[in-house]
Amino acid sequence: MRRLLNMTADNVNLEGTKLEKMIGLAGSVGIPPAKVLAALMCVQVSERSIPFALGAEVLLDLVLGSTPTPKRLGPVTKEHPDGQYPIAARSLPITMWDVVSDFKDLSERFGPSGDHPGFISKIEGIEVGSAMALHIRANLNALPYKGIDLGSGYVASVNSTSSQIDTLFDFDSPDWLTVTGLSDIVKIGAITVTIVEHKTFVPGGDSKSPSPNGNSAIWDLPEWEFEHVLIEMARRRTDTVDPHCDTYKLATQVTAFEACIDDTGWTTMETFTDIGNPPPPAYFWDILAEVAQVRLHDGGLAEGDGNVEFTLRDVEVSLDQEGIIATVKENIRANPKALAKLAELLNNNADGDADFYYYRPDASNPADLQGDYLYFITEDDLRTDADGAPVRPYAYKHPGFFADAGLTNKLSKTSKIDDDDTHEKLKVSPGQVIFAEDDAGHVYQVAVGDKPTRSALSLTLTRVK
Amino acid sequence: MLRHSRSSPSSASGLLAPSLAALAVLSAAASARASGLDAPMVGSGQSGPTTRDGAAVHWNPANLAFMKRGEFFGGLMLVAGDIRYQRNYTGTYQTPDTLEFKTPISAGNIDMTKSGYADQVKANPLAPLGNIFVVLPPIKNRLVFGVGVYVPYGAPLKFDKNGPQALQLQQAFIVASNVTASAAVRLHDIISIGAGVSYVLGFAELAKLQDFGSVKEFGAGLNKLGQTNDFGPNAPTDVRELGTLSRPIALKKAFSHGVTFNIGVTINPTKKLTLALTYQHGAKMNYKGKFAIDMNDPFFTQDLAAQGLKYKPLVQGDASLQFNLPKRITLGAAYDINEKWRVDGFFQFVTYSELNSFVVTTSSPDLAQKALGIGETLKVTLPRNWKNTVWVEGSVRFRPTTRLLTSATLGYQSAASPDKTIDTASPDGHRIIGGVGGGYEVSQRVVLYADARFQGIVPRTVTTSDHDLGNGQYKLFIATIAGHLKVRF
Repeated sequence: MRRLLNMTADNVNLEGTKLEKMIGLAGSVGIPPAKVLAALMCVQVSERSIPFALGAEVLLDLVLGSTPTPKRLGPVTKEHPDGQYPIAARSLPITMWDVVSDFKDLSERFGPSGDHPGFISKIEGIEVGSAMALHIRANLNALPYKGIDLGSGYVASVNSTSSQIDTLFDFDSPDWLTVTGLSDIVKIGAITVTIVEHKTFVPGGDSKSPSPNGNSAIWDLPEWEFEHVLIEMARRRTDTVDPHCDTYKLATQVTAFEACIDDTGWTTMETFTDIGNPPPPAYFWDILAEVAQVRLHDGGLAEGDGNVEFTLRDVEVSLDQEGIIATVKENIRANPKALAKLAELLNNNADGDADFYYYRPDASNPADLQGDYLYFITEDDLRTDADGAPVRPYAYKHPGFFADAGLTNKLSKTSKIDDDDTHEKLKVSPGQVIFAEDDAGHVYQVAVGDKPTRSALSLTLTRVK
Repeated sequence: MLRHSRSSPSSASGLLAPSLAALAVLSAAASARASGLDAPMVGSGQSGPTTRDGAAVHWNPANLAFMKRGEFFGGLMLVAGDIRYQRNYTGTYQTPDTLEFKTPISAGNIDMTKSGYADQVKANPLAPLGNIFVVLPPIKNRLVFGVGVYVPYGAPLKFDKNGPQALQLQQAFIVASNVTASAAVRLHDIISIGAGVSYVLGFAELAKLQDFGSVKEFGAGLNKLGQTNDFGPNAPTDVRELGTLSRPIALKKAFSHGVTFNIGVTINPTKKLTLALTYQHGAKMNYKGKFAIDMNDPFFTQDLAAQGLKYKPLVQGDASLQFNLPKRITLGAAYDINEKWRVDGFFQFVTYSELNSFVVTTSSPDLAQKALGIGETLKVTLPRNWKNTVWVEGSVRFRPTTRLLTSATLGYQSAASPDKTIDTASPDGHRIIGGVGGGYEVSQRVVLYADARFQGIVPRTVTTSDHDLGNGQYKLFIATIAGHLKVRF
């Protein structure tokens, strides 16, 4: 690969290629073959045939651009209701998670996926700098709600974090989120990129059609394969060559050989006075691609074994600290629920599996809303395991509270109290009798007894079905 | 039962169970010393700093030198008390089942029932006590030895477990006993000196509710976790006495061992006049016992486990309390008016002001909360700021016959506990002391004594208790009946 990237008109070996015949032509008129090739490409003889920048662009466009990586996550908006955004061209999206996790997922995210061999095969030597910490101030009542597991009568605890999501963060406070230890630059010791070769030799084309690229089968290969990358590099290189003809004359001023390239990249070489056999006309990229394929296998390397691997060393990734922090703040502010699950995990004070819980509205509510309420749990209230997954399914067929054991006359409503409008809730008082069904389909009579204290409720449970 | 505890944002807590144990032991000591039990009857009603009997081992060892014969002097007493307290809530309190940690608390959470005087609570301790003294004069009229075992303090106190005083004291049993060995030398016909060394053994057990809202470390622990609060020793009443934070604590089998001494001098300038001066040194007391705290509330055992707070339902460990017993200086005088009449009395000054606070150390592996930086051992200081006291008594003694002796006593003792720190664990006030008694000489060798002694504090109304902890009205009355036997040999 290094040889190919450093290929110049001067050092290129054309043996075994269509241009081999050009060597003879050049010799017959006393002109160095390198000069002919350089003139054709409008470069100096020692100038790289494929500039590094162009080569990098093609690699990023084809190999990176074709990786089936998920879109990057962003704020949920009307335009992006799922919060997913396309990745910008020629870029490797890096998240805060990558910085925090020392980029350990990067090679996996941009590694092999299905038929695609991936863009990054290995990444190592990460230097993030000092330990980074993200500090988020949360105003959280860490105490759980107290509820009842109807089946066992156990006084369970329901994690109250998700119900406080709207007041969890004080976005008006300037220091509600701070980041410490975030460096300006992340250094990556080495990123190894692998490009696979097609199993067989694929010749360059020999026809102008189909326009505009010609008939080489290389164009039908996957974008990430080496041959396709090469021909695209050559095609873009050809775009930089102005149409022209190079005419070579004998000492007698008789035109012996003429090489022309037109504005489509079609290249013709003609001889006059019966000198040698010129190569057949072809697009210039077809010619270059063939040269590169042949040279790739110098030294006896078999077709299909010429996978290219190169390593970028000491890669520096600049981090816009203020921009990152501002974006993180904006993202969280737009969708605080994204952190709700994290907050729930950090404050996982659930215990047992309550079917409903006891709630008293904030004292700031009107007097008619004050009192004792029972809230039937929603799916968000299910107890979770250490990974945040619910420990049981939400299998309630009749969530809520009813006046009858047949569960036909629902008493509870999802009316809004303290910003909650998702829970079936019912105001209760001593002496009241209601019915509720647990997730096993059993129906219970719930008799409200005398209040032991102002903020406590006494219930008697009787299974009726 | 379902309990709603949602009033106050709480991101977690740090607890200090050690403080409970600390305060419990403190209360024990307070009760023993600056309380209605601090006017003990040692010996009979005839004993005192100018009396020549076996109880001189305690009152004034110099008097032993005047005793020409050996003597066994022992007796039993029954102490009965009536201690009453009516709390006066002068502060603002939130309902006990809410959990607002910082003022101002919501108006809806103010407990309107905690205002003004609550129901009166009372305790009626009943305790048998006793003492034994033996006097041995190896060199008659010159050198006399004495030894005594006596229990000057002992009282079981039991209040209503759920009464308004529960955060001060629910129940207590305190005993203090002395074993003293004395020696006296008669330097001259009119002057003698004596000294004694005492081993003081104390025992205490008690139970109360401990308010975590008043514990500095609890407040600091919550602050560490971002939960602002007003908790600590200076917490306002608004955040005190919350049900969840009031944890039952018991102190069990706390023993203390101390050594002290007393010295005395008796002068008879005339045959009728006796003057006495004694000094009772203080003692360094070190109560050591076991504590147990009931932490069995979901707040402490599970609800905040995610924040790093999780206690066992019952926390047990070791507790120790160190403090110094005060010194006492007594000046006594007696005058034999004639063969039938005698008057005597004394003035005693007690240096209770040396006791500014109690320092308690508790330790248990179950106390540690690593996430909050709380270790297994904690020292807590409880301010007492006691005042020096004076105790004066005067007696009139009359012998209607040669065998019969009667007496009447009247006295006064000032209060050691100031208004700021008084509580039911150390009820105290201006104390009036009275007593009647007598002795009957059965034979030249045997004398029987009977006494009845009363003491009570002038009902004390307190309005300036620190943090409204002990405001209210205190009443105390203690009656002692005693019988003694003296056998001379």
